[in-house]
Amino acid sequence: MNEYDIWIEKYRPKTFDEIIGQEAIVRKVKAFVETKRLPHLIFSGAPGTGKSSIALVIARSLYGESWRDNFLELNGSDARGIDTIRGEVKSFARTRSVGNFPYRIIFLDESDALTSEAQQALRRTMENFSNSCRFIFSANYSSKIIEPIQSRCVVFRFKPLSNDALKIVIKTVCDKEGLRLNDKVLEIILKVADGDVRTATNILQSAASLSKTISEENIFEATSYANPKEIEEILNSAVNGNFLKARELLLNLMIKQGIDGLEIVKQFQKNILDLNLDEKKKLSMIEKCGETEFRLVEGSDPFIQLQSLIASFSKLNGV
Amino acid sequence: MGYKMFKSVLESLDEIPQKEIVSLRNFVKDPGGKALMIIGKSGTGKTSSVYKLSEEIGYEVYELNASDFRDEESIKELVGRASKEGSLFKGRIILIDDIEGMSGREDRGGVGALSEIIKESRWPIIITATDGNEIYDKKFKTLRSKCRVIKFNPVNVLSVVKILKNVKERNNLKISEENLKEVARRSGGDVRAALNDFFSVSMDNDLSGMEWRDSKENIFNAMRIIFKSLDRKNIEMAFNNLDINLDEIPLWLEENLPLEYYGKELSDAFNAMSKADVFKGRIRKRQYYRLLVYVRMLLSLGIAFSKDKRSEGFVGYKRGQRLLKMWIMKNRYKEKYEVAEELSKYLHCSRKKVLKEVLPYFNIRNFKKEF
Repeated sequence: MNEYDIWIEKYRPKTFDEIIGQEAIVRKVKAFVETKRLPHLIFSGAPGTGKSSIALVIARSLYGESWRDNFLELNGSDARGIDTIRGEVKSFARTRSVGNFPYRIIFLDESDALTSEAQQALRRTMENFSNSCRFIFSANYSSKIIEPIQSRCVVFRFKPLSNDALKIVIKTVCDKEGLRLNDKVLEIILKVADGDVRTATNILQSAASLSKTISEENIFEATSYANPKEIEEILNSAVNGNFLKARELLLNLMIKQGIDGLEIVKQFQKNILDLNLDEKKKLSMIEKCGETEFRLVEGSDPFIQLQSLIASFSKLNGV
Repeated sequence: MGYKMFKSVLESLDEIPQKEIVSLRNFVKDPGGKALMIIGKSGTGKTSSVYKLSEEIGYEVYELNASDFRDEESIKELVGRASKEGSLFKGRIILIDDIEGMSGREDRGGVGALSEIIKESRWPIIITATDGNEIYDKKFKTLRSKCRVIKFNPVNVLSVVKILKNVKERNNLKISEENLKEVARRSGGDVRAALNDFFSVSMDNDLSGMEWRDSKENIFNAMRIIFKSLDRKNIEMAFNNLDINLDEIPLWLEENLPLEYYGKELSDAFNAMSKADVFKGRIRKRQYYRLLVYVRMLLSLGIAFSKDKRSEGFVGYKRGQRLLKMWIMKNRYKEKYEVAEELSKYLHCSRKKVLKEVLPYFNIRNFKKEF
């Protein structure tokens, strides 16, 4: 292995046994593969929960080394034109698979990005080649896939990984790469990743490029995340009416650490719920965050908008 | 279907739980110059019933489905020929499957060609259509008028249970009674989906990791949590397992909100919904989907915390009425629109002007008859 490997690919599971989490889904899919009876599938769920990985494992288990010849991966948001999809699907499906599994697999990633007309046409293609092809759709929201397609598929919902499962993944990567990190750092990674293996692995890799011993600072230096502790401090200062302190911390985050204004609002929104305040107040604060995010997207000065936001936090809390 | 996971799902036509099966049988005996159109949601037995019927009466099925090209030429050629010729010894049913899947571009003229063939056909023609907006489109209007239309309803849970029990027995599956019923309950009346799920469950007799097919039961639960509870963690999760379009949620909430909230609570809750809607507009305008977080939060926490204490007692929730009413109005308006367009040619003014200044003084229905 060389040091330029991208870890999310390097540590992508190659067999069913290597998959961490999603136990119930893995058990079923494994049984489909073992009995060589594979229905069309829809994998729905948040990013980084193993949808693509499991699809790839299915291909490897069914076709062995020649899996690349029998597995077509298309992305719904790149290949938006249905003609591209059809063209590629057709030429791929025309030849049957060699080996003891008679179907080839078409994996359509981000299929919820397809328009419903494109899906109608795809449904037709699906039926056209049902004798030679199996489809696996992956989507963040399965409800964006039209009913006739859903009806023809087995639908699995992927949940964000539990912290225990994520810990196993993180530990594996650390052991293999010779990284060291303490429990506090681990907790931060878990919090930032929020059940997303891809994010967790990416954080590790970028932090590791700075030092093999990963510290809190490494993580925030290597990523565009602000330290949740500092975010909390800003919030607390604002709520207690200490505007100047809140503003200083804010400026520090934005200028010194170069964290994007939108990213900070996003973290505000995630952290506010954990504050020890009245629920209704918290809700109003979050609403303000939404308003600020909207104004930022409209293209206004981030620092002005964020100052206004923290000032409103003070006001909402009666200071 | 391309593949069969189970053998003997249905052994006879009578095992399909649709009361219109009678009309299907009657139709084949005497089509009377019309075709039969079966409209129904996915997995309600439209295609299956045609095949089972053909077995019953010893006919062959000539099928054209979404995988065939169905433009004017192919329809004339294939269906035209099939409708005139036929075996001397065996009757024939012509099945046009999933008509709403006929695409405007590639299947140009197909629907028109089909409408013309119907009257001449020697054999019964049956057309199936998935229930949805497409089939009520203008381009199918003429075709619909040449058809006897019957509806297949979503299959009720008990009937799904019965079908699954048959499958279980005929295929020697090891699935507990409890899981079988749960698969049926989750099916949302779609038997094919239920069979897919059943196949999946038959691997290990375990239901975890599988989605609810029916979104209705789900939204009821979500509403109960939002309206009744004050437990933040629970409320936050309310929409998480909801397999329903976020655009549809407000339609449910607005219908049922007044059943649970009064006075200030009601006003605050609607205010939250109104703000959520503003955010939705912003998302559309800017294509900035991060704002969805706030839509979700206002719809769940915003509404939930509009009340001060947990509310008790059972309230039966209703389906949102607005969609249905909007659909009806749209159709009514469409009629007006068509008339206005026609009239504008004669009155030398724009359609808009006719709509505003001329039509209010006429009774459209009378007018249509004369035209």
